Amino acid sequence: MNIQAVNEKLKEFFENNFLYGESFDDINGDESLIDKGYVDSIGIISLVAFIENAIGIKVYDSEIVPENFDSINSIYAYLKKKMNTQDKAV
Amino acid sequence: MQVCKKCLLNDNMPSVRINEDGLCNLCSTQYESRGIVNNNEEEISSLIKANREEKYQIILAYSGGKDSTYSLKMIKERYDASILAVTFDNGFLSDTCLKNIRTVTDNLDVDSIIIKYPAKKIIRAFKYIEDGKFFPRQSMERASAICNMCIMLIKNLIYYEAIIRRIPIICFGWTPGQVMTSKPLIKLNYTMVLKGFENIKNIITSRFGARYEKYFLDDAFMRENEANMPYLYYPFVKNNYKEDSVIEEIKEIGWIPPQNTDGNSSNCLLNSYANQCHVSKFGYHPYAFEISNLIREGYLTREEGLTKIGNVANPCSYKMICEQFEKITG
Repeated sequence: MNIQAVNEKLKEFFENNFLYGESFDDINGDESLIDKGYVDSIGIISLVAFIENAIGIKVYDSEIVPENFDSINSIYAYLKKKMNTQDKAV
Repeated sequence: MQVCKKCLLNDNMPSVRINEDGLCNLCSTQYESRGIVNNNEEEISSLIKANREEKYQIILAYSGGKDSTYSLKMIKERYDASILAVTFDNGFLSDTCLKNIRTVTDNLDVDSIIIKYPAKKIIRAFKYIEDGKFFPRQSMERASAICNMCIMLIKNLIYYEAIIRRIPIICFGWTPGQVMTSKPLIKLNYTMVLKGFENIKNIITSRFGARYEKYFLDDAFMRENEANMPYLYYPFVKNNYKEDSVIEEIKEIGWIPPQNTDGNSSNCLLNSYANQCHVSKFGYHPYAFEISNLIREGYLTREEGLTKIGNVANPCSYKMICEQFEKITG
């Protein structure tokens, strides 16, 4: 799966689970998803499950930090880095 | 209002859209699971072994309800570990539940503590947040505001107790419908733990003052204990969840179903009030999401799910809670 396909899947996941009719493209990529109320702690856990199960990227516990998961842009950057290092999942 | 023909989600829920085939967006876009790597047993055993000198190796958030009772039985039988069962008494546990906690922990030979905060303080906090406006929309789709608040207090309490007692594993008996995770065993960085509580902690302490701060994890305490963060373990995630067999099995260790709770709680009277507030405000049952997950994953039939959410509130308990809330909050 290339980065574009990953981003499309991520967009679909967000729109189905977190955005409540809002468009993924309208979200400020730098805003905190938790502070803005888009995602809660259980949401982060389900996002990690989605990344492992649907995208096939292994997420280590130590990587589940706000710096990697609390904004759209940080998630993009994290996924890009993981794909470049071929850190495949499960 | 349209209801998904496969699960029980309806389009009153903000994230739910029903398509022309009558399916909700979750049923129509379910992702194929790649399965979970089954290496947790070895890791858990290693953690227990490495912490053998500690008084306890597992702390269980024990509500006294059927799922956490089953979890307690499961981990007691599965692991050679010393377990501490910690119950957060929100002031509304049924008498049967309190008896169940005593009977079950006695029969399983497990140490147990019950921690209760003053009724006035907790009722004021519950009343303040009950309309859900302070919680993320996602949290409101998964549980009532009062349940979210109560669970948050429990998590803060359990993390604190685990850290000060140097217990390496926290166990929560959440059903596969309550938590969708690929990681039944997970160790979260302290910053992630704090981030999840930050908003409500600020709201409650801003409204009620510093006397409520002790009910939430302190940033400095967590930072000092960064190296001692416990693992979270969800034993149900990798197990077939069948409510009937769960109840049958825990009856053997003395657990009795309470008669004064609603259709979705087996310990808490407040749930009737919390459900009713949620349904009145949002137009959908706060357990619809969890039950729909269980239906989607094949743990419940749609008919069984409908029966469960049909019983929103126990009328006697609901009336009693309304009176108590009125007395304290005016």
